[in-house]
Amino acid sequence: MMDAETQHHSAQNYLLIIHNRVAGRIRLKVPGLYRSERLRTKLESTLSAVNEIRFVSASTLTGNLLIEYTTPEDTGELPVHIAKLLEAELGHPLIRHIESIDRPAKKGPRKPKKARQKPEAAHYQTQPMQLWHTLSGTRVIDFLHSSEQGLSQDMAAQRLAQYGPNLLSEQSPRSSLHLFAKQFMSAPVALLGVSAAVSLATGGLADTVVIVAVVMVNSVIGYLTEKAAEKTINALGQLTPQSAVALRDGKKQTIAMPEIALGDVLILAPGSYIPADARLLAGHRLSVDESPLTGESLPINKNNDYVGEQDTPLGDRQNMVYRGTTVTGGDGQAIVVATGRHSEIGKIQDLVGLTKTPITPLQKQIDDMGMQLVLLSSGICMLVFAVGLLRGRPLPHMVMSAISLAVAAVPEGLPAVATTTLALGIKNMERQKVLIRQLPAVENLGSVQVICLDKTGTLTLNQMRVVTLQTLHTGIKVKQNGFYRENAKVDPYRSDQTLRDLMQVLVLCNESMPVNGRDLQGSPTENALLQVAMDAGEEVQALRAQRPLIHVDYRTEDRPYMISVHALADGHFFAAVKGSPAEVLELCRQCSIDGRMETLSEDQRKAILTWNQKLGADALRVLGVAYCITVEADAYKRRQFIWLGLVGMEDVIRPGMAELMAEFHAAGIETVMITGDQSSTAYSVGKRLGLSGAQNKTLEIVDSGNLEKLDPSVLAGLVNRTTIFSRVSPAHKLRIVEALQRNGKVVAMTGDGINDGPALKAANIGVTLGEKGSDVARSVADVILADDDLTTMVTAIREGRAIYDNISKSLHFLLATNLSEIEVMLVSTALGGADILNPRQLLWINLITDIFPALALALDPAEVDVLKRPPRDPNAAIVSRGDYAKLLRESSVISAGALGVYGFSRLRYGPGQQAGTHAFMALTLAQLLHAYRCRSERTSIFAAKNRPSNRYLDTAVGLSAVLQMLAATLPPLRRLLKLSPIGAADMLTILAGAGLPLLANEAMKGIDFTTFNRGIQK
Amino acid sequence: MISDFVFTSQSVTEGHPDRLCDTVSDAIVDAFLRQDPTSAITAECALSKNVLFLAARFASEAVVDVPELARTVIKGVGYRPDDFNADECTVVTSYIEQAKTSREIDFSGLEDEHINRISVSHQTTVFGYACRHSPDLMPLPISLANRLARQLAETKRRAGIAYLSPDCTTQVGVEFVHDAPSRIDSITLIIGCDDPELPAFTQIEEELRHHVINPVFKHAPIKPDNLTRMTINPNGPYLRSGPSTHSGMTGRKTDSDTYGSFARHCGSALSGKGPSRIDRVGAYAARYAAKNIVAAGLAEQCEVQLSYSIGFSGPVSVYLTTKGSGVIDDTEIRKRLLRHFDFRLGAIIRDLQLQKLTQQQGGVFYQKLPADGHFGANGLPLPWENTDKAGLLAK
Repeated sequence: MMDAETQHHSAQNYLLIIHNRVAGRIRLKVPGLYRSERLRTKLESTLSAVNEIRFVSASTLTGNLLIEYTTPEDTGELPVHIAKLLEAELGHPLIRHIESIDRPAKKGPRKPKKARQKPEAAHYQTQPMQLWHTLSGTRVIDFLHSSEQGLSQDMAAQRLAQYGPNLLSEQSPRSSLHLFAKQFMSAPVALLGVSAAVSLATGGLADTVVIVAVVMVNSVIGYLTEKAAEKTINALGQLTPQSAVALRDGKKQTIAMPEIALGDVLILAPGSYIPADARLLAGHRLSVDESPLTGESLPINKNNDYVGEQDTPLGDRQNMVYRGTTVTGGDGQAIVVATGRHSEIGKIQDLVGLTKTPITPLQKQIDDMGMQLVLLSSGICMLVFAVGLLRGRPLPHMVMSAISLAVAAVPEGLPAVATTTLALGIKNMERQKVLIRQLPAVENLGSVQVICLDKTGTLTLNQMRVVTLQTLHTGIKVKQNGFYRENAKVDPYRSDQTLRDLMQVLVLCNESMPVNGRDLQGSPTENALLQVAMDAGEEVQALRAQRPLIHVDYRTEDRPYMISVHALADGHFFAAVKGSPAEVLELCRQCSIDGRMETLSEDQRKAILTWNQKLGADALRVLGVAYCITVEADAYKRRQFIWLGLVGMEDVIRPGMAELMAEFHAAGIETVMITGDQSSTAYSVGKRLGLSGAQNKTLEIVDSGNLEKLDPSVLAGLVNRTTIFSRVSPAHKLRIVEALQRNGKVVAMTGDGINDGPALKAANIGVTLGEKGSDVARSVADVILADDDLTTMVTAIREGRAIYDNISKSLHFLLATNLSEIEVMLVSTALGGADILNPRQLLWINLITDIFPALALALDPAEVDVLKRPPRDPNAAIVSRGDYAKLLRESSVISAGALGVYGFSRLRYGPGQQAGTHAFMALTLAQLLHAYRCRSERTSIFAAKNRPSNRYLDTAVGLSAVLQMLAATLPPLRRLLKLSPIGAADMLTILAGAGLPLLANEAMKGIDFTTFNRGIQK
Repeated sequence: MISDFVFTSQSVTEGHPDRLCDTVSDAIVDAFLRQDPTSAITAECALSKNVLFLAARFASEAVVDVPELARTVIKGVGYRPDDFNADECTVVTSYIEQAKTSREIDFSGLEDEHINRISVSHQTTVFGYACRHSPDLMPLPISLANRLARQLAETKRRAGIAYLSPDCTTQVGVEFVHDAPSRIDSITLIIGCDDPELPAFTQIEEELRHHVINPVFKHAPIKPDNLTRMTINPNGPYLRSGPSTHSGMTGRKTDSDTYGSFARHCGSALSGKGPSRIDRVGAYAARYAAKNIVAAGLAEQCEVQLSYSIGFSGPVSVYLTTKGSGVIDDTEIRKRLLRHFDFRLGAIIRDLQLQKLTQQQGGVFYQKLPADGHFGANGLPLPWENTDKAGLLAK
């Protein structure tokens, strides 16, 4: 077995197509042909016997074989049976040279599209399958004919040709046909089909035509919306990096993902995305996030010395790294053992097959509700049917009306509404720079209750700013617009010699460089120091040129300060020092007070240390600054410096963050800050950000470097009111998310580091900032804020809430209007006599009211107060028990309106078509108007100012109303629907019957809302 | 009336979680007063396995890294890392920061009229007591129990007895004849053992007797006799101690903080409260009054009660009883008391210099009180233990 395998993938063992660009001509490299006269004769004689082959020439000098052949299709392709023959004869597979893949397609009778459909992969060899984790690293290298220095560029190319590029099988999306067919495979359509059959059987050809037309219109609209939605949704998904680092020709190279070949040696570093399955050759504290493969959210430690058993499970193979996983820590090297479809994740994907659009909990809820409604309306139809029969109506007639009622009653638009709304929402958010990566994120966004924020980089700018200068005789506050001494603006450069010296030290003992005058290049601390000196008016370039640097002692672990020595014009030396105040103070013998030198007294030393403590406790980073002027260059080592002062710096908070926190709080979302800082720093930042909220709640801080030692249930108990986690490492973010979720919270988490992956994945909404986010963070995040601005998160939450609201509005509309139809028909059957509405009319109502207004409601702009109310309860059903009561009430009002019109007309015209026509008109128009009722549960048409307009809805309702008017006036349509002409006076009655229910329902909403408000106030 | 009886009082050492929480709370008070003597601060602390809860409400200029401070204090107690690891524990803090008001001012040298405007912000009834059991005018049982506890901590620190945990409890029973202490009835020590390889029990007893009991009773007026019952860990050694076995909370050891239940005491905690809290400083003022009355020779024992209501600057009731031991009438004593003592909140803070103590004592004052005792002679300069007004009262 081993031998056969070894042979199989030796680089020499395949037939490489060198050239086939000319139609009917192919040149192949044949292994073993070189200097083998015997093989040459054999090949030439066998191949000349084949009909299509016009000419064969094998060269023992080059080892090449040239075949000229004719093909019936004239595509230039080598006929399959010749290829097979060659393979059989020589015992090697036929491999295309990688270049020949992009051969321009020839025009011919066969369509190029069809030619492309057969993937080239058919020619690729199966990759060697081994239990790699049971082999030692060196054996794996031997086995793959590679080396620790990796492959050569040529070998890699050969192997790619042999085994194919490192690509997962393309996932084919659902076909259009499939999607269209799906529109017909639903309970309502089945019911319609039955009714069409019944109509046909009872001789109602016109009815059959109407029903089929309704089905087609419904299906086409459903198809179009779902198609668009599916396109948007399938465009979501994971962002994977496009390249990896591997050794080629012994050198580190960045190689495109598809070109990683078997035997390549990968270089692993934190953040590396692993491009193919590989066996570790070396590793140092390597840990890998395998969650995409195994679901294990904590990073797995890897060990190249480990050798597994045959049945070691995937997650425990410590010597293997797998495609799709990411290095979270340490470094190492690994040799690729499986690529593309043969990798573990590739196999899984092969198993899964077609891409399935994921179904969110909300969609499932709506689907379930749809099914229940089908059952419910079926029950009601049976009731109508039974009552009708008991009243002695003819059977076929009753079958027809019952079925039509069922069709009209079932809200077919239901599933499409959710999908479409979600998709439209995603599009809309994209325009606002919010990229949604996972579908469920959209509805989760609307219910986010807690948002966890990284301090560094997200809330703060990763910049420092000098805020305090403290010399022995004066304290200066540095503000955006200048320097202040006790609220009086001062010019530090003019007023005080000590300050002036201090600024010079800050410039000289500083490696930050101004670029283009403004931008500073250096560490945040040094940038801040240089900036304050520049603000004070120091000429950085001039000063540095004047006092050239001759020596630097850098800050080290046992020397917490930095000293730089500069030459002065008079031949003396200027030594500048900055660093940890206590240590710098130790170096000093004197101090400078407004330029005067004094010997440092004990009291002064004490005072400096107290200031240091106080500034430090105030969350400032504090540095001590001193200098000395000496005759010799290294005299500074005598430690006789002159103390100048303390410099206090703070983290710069991103502009707008405090306002953002207030917005979150107003929207009922709790904010949690996570930082690795000390508790006091965290407290100061938290206070500046206003994390405690508008009511000045307590600021609760959990300070722990060892959250993992805390029992999860204890942590869950703690996190509920916690606003800040301090001294927390990124790895602990996962625990915080899990603890919050244990409390039933819907959690959003921001993060962009390599270590943030698990937490982002675990959070209900993982948020990463577009530009800065690491590949890992971007690949697991649900939401990417493309403009790198956290304030966009508010937009995302607003849209998320609006989307949920809109789905709920559409549902409300569909259910209320369909209920009203059922009620009217129930009454009609109970009354006996002629039906108020005939089946065709029911279908018509269904057609014009169910689709367009519902879709337009899905496009409703966010309500004004959407960010002023608390997040919805994630466990609440989208249609609650209370909502059903409301639906029943509203539909009764609509039905009452229609029945009122019917009753009035029946008194005037007697039972028959005229009264039915009026009822039909009133019901349809009332339903259309009801869409305005469904726009909000909080505002009504009486206070139109409080809500943004929805022109889609105006258009949809307007169009539908025009159609309805056409039905009443256009004779052919009128005949089809069996309507009578309507007089002007009757039109008034109809309009009253349609308009009054809206007014009544809106008025009731007002009452509801005020009682509701009063309830809250109590 | 029964006048012959045994009275027991108990105490705990500095490493007992309750006491440690008191110490941490007072360390926070000190940290605020150190930076800003006019701070208003209330701090509470609870300690459990691996978790430390801190709540602080303050109005102050000071900025304090509370978790770091708490870790340092706990580290100083010297638990084994198994029992409690101060570096690794999780610290949960809850802050309420308030703006400074006209109440947060320097009280020293404040005019009377101004003091009248400073009303108390808590309602409380506090007690102070003093009696002639010991030279420092404290009840004998608690005085001995506290000294045993301090001596245990001292022994752990000085004598280096490896098995002695910082978390121990003591109890002393004193037999009273005609209401006066006559002999030591019992001594009970419960010690936590840090070393799994304990020496023989007789050795432990010998060492504790040598290092702890004997030094405490060396200068005591009453010494244990042959009939004194000595009990050391009757239920066997406690191999684990500290927060890993029992949790702690600020203000749960108010009896040993005060008079060992020999006299009445207010239920609210003393520790963790800054000078502006009447329920703390009132207790100090009441003790100051009681001690001076006894020191003036006006009575054998005296209990002073002060009641405060929110909105009043001074007590709404001042009551005292000498339980019949007074040489003059209690009413007369009260008259003299009211003449020479000012029990208004502002006056207490001013007269006892409560805002300045921390700075005067090198930055640490209140923090020492839980372990060293709020009352009695403990080596600290407690202003309320002065008998400087005894002369005035005697006249």
